[in-house]
Parts: sequence; C-alpha cells; structure tokens
Amino acid sequence: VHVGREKVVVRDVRGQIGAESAKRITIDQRLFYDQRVITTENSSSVVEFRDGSLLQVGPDAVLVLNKLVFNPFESKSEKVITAVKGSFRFISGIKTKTSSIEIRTPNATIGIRGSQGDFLVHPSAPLFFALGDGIATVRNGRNSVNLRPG
Amino acid sequence: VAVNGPNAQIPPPRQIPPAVTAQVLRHIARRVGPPPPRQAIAPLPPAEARIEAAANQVPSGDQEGAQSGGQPPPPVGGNEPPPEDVGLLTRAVEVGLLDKAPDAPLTPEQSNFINQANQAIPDAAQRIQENLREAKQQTDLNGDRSTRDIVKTSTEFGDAPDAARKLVEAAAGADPRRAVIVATSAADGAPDKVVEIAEAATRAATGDAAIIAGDLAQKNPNAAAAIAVAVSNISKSSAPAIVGSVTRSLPPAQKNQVVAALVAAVPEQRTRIQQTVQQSNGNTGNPPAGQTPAPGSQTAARTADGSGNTAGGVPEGLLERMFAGDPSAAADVRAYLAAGGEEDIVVRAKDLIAQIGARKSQLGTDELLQTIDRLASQAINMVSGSQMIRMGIDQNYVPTTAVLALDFGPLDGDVAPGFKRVPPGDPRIGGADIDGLRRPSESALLNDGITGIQRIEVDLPDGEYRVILMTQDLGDRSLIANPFGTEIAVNGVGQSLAQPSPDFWVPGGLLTNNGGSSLLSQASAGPGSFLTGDLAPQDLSAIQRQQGGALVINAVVRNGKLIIELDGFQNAQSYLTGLIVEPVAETSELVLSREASRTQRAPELRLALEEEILAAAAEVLADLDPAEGDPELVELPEPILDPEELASTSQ
Repeated sequence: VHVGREKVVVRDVRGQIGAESAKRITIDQRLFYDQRVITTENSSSVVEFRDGSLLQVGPDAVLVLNKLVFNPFESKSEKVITAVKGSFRFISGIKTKTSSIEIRTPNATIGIRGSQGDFLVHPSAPLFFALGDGIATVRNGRNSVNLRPG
Repeated sequence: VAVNGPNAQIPPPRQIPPAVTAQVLRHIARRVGPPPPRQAIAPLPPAEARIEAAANQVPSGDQEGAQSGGQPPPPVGGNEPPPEDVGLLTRAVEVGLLDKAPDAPLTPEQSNFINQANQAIPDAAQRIQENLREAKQQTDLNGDRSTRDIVKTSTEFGDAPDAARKLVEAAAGADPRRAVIVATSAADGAPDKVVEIAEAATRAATGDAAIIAGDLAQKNPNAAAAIAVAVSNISKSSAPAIVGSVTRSLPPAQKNQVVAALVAAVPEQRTRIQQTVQQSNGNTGNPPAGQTPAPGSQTAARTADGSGNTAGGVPEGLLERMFAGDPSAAADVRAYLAAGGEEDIVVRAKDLIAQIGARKSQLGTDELLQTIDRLASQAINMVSGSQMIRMGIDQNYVPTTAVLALDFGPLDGDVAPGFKRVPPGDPRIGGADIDGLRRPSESALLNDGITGIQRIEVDLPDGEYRVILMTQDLGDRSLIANPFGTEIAVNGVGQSLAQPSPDFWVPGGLLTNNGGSSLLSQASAGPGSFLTGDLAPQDLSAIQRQQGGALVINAVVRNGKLIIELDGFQNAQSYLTGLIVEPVAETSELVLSREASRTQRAPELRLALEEEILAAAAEVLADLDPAEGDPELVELPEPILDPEELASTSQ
C-alpha cells in the first residue's frame, strides 16, 4: 500500500527505495513506505500523504517516508517521517479521531497533533521548528517541551 | 523552538527572540514557496482514484504490519556552513542563548544580542502573527480540500458494503465542523445513497441539519422528501428549517410531497412547517402547499389550517403573552405581522392594537402602555426598517458603475472579477471572532465570505452613494438568523433592518451588466434608480440557486470615510460576502423585480405608514390619564427615522 503521492515537482526530485539508485519522481507518482525523497539544488517538491496532509519540501533536502497508516473508515491516521536535512512545511489533511504525526530529525523528534508547522533541519544549525496551528511536543535525549501556536 | 543537538537542552520557546523566529520563518518560506494552489492538487484520474480508494479500505492493522521495521535514515552529510539568511539563529547559538537555563539571568552578551536582533527586525512579532494567520488559513483550506477529495473518492470507488454511510459517520464524527462538506462530497461520489448520507452527517452535526438536508436534496431532488423526513427524524425541532432549505429549489409538485411527508413524520411541528411554507409561498406568490387560501385573504387561510389561530387571525394566547411581557411573544408578533406580506403589516398592526384596546379594561395602565409601546415599536420598525432582497449574480458580471467593489473571504479564495479581496485581518474590517468561510456556489462573489464583521471603514471621495451589502443564505437559520444584525448605521445614521432572516428575504435582485435585457418587461428605470420589472425565468432560477442576499442603503460621505456599523446579532454572527458602492446618481447594476423594488420605499411613504400605526395606538390610549402611568411610556414611540435622516439614508 502506498503512503502518498508526489503532487508538485519543480525541476529535479528523486526517489530511492532501499539500495536502488535514486530515480526521478513524476507528478502523481505513488510513494511508498521507507522511500527517500531527495530534492536537488533549486528543486522543490510537495508530497501529499493519503490522508490529504501535505509536506512542502525545499531545495537540497532529504527525507524518508517511514510510515503511513491511514483508513478513513476507521478514522485513523498515523505517520512517521524522517527529515534528514532541508526546509519543510507540514499542513494537515482530513481530520480523524486517532491522529498523529512524528517527525524525526537528528536533534529531536517532533510530535504534531494537527495542523501546521515549519521546520529547518541543517547539519550546521540547530533544529528549528515553529508551530503554526495545532499542538506539538518536541523531545530529545535531554528533555521535552510542549508547544502551542504563537 | 530551536534545538542545538540530540542531547542538548530544548529551551522553552520564549527563550527564542521573535526576531530569530521571524528570520528563520522567512528563510523557510522562501525555500518551500507558497502553499500549492488547489489546481496543483487536482483530483486523480479515475484509474488512480480506484487505487487510492482501495488503499484507504485496507484495515489499519494490515497496513501497520506491512510497514514494521524500516531502515535507519541516511547519515547527515558534510560540514556545509549554515544558510547565510538565518544568521540570527546561528548567533543565538554562539552567545549560548539556546543552552541557557530557563531561570538563569541573561549575560550582557546575550542581552546585547537580543537588542540587536530586535533592532534588525523591529516588526518581528507582527510577521510571526501574520505567519500564524496564514498557517491557520492553510490548515483550513487543506482540511476542506482533503476531506472533499478523500470522501468523494472513497465513496465513488469504494466497494465495501455500506461504504458511504460508514465513511460519513467516521469523517463527520471526527470533524463535525465539516459535516456539510463530508455529506456533499459523499453525495457526489454516491448520489444514490443521499438519504443514508444525510442521516449519518446529521447525527454528527445536528445543528447543520437544515444545511445538510438542503444541499443533499439539490444533489438528488428525487430523494428530497426522503432526505427531509430522515433528517427531521433525527432533529425534529429543525423540521421547519429543513422544509425551507429542502424545498427552496423544488418545483411545486415535489415541494408539496416534501411538505406532506414532513407533516406526517413530525406532526408536532405541523404548524411551524406550514408557517415556513406559507412564508416561502408568500414571497413567491404561490399558494401554500396543500392549501387554497380565500381570495385576497391569507389570514383566512391560516385560520382554516387547524393551527389554533383565533378567528381574527391572531395566534391563540398571543395577546395574553403580550400582556404578560413574555419575551418570546415578540418573535410571534413579528411573524404574525409579517405573515400577510409587506403591504399587510400596517393593517395587521392596527388590527392587533384594536384587539388590545378592546380588552384594555382587563389591563392596568402600565400593562396597556407597555403592550402598545412594544407592538407599535415593532410594527414601525418593520415598515421603516430596510428589507433584505434575495439576489443572484450574473455569471459574467463585472462592476462598472461601482466606485468600490469588495469581495470578502479567505486570502486565497476565488475573487470575483472586478472586485478586490478583503481577507480576515484586513484593517478595513473589525469585529469579534472574524473568520473566513467557504461555501459551495457558482458565483465567485458568494462562494466565500467572512463571519463576525461588525464594522467596515473605507476611504471614499465625498458624495452620495448607494451601498449594497451582500451575504448568502447558508440554509441554517440558527447560523444566519440575521447576517447583517438588526441595527445598521452608515456614517453614524442608524436604521433598523426589518425581517433579516432569509425566510423573509424579498425576491429578487440580479447583479448584471445586461440591465434591461434581464427583464421581460420593464417597469421603471432612470438615473439614480433601479431597473425594475419582471425578471426572466433563467435569472429567477439563478437567484434561487445562488441564494444571495442584498441590503441597499443610501449614504452620504462628507469626510472621505464610509463607516458601516452592524449591531443586534443576539447569539448569531454577521456573514458578509461582498460590498458594492455605486454613486447614487448612476442607475444601479442591481436589477430588481417589481416586488423587490417595493423594498426601496420612498421616505414619504414610510412616514405615512408610521403615522397610521401611531394614530391607531393613540386612539386606544386616548382616554388614558397620563398621570396614571409611567410618564416615559405615555410618550408614544418616535418614528425610527425622521425626515432629515430619511433624506440621507434610505430610499
């Protein structure tokens, strides 16, 4: 079962599953569990998960689509992604009774319950996360902090 | 929040200066770009949609099992320098701001950095607020879009038995605020399942019962009666509103079927259902469903319908409740006065005053004065106050005579051609809980709007103008009981809004550039007035479909400002979709039916009608000794608009 689709491709966006070499992704192409999405310089992408949530991905970014469990009849949506590097914006999709998104980054894990967040992951800069809407928790090996917009 | 390492302390968000946040948000926005427009997330072609629907039906347990494990992420590569345009974030790390214990004092270096950052981006807090506002809009928009796409695809291509009902129960249950979107999207996917869809959506959002029933009846008119009954069985008190919304676009034969089915299903609401239908027919000139009124007498029809009204047409017990000062009597008095149509208000008011006079020996002086005062005020309000017009908008309409044309709605909603967008947060509007709202409509001017507006302030050259405020009938009377409030002031000159509920909107108006060609026969026209006559059937049909509402007020601008203030919402909110300001000397692009043109009553006629009501009240009170009652009450109510005000406010 696929986890989502590529909805916007600007220039060169590539996908990689396991040890395969990275291949160009086209619009509406299905994306799968554990697939990496890579944008090159001056490229960008929008991934739409099956639950309608969007992940905007800036240039020179790497992310892994770890998991999506979505069934609208059961009103359930759980997803896990790893943001390796890059600039990202997440926007939630259809509302379900059971819902979670976990964004793993090198410095901390972000748990979002609805709705929108901007984040920057860079090897030479701190993880930056700004919650636009909803609630979130950021945790790492040291502590955790709850966030609300504003 | 900013985190400097996997084992570094995550500082509380307040430790990050607003300037740092604003700078990084700008960096991210530049990199990811604006949110994708709706067109970029177009629905999938059918073959792919089937795959999507099939995936959505895989039990979550099976999906979970197939995705267990997973590979570790690739290593973070290189020692590339941080982006130049997030220098404040880098500097915050260098001065140790992220590692500072929350209760530790700032070092001089840290204080210095914060001051410099604040000077570098002095409007940081404002930018963050703007970002938050846009974030909420993006979330709302994408929530609407994804709900629509997923529900439609899953019902259209889902092969599970009872899929539509189950999906609507789940989706509307999780998000009752979007129950209408869920219901209409499911009906698009499975139009033969509209009844069970309506039931499931209504159970999740009973407050939206009338909207759900009305919207689904439009999707499948043959199922209108079944939908109305099914939804009314869940929300019996909504039956009158449901009959109004379900029958609004049905031909008479189907309309009668719906009414008969509803009366049989919810007999306890019979009177209110029939009153609603009667109001609706009163506006269209059709006889009430299932009834044949005596010629020229709607009162006679009501007394014969078994609704319990007295022989004089006054609902039984109403006079007693008026005498007792029962607050709920006001609504019934208003309904009684309005039930005979616009021309009948004065006649009914005088009749009611006379009936009160006939029983004045049963009342104390204050009781009599108070009852007459309330009734006369209400009747005067209704004949003097402005009236809402049910209107549509020509598909190709572009304002040409207007000096100002504003389209209210979310920032990225469709803007009508020739109009300028006013989004929530725009400095020209003010109010409480202002928010954007999107609604299905074929008109870009009506398909979105803003709730909560209580004040509009725009710059205009001095002069005399015709102000056309616009809204849309959302179907739910509790939601849009009075979309502009009941009191409206333009540049400080106030007037009442008579019968603001969509049930009482007068048909019909059409915003069009085609002018006279929209009219089968023209009654009047001329500079400074409206083109008036019999609207063509296709235009009447557009008015019914689009369900727009307009209020026309004349205004004088003398200091370069037009200020509109709305008040009197009780528990509801305003809902505005657009505003047009035309010079009063120009012929309006709002073409009016003969009936609607009568709402633009001449000031002299208004005063004459008020005088009639006041004379009837004075006759009843003639032999009353002023010394016996409250002196303030003995003074009869003043007309709401005096001649000077009328000359500058209302036509």
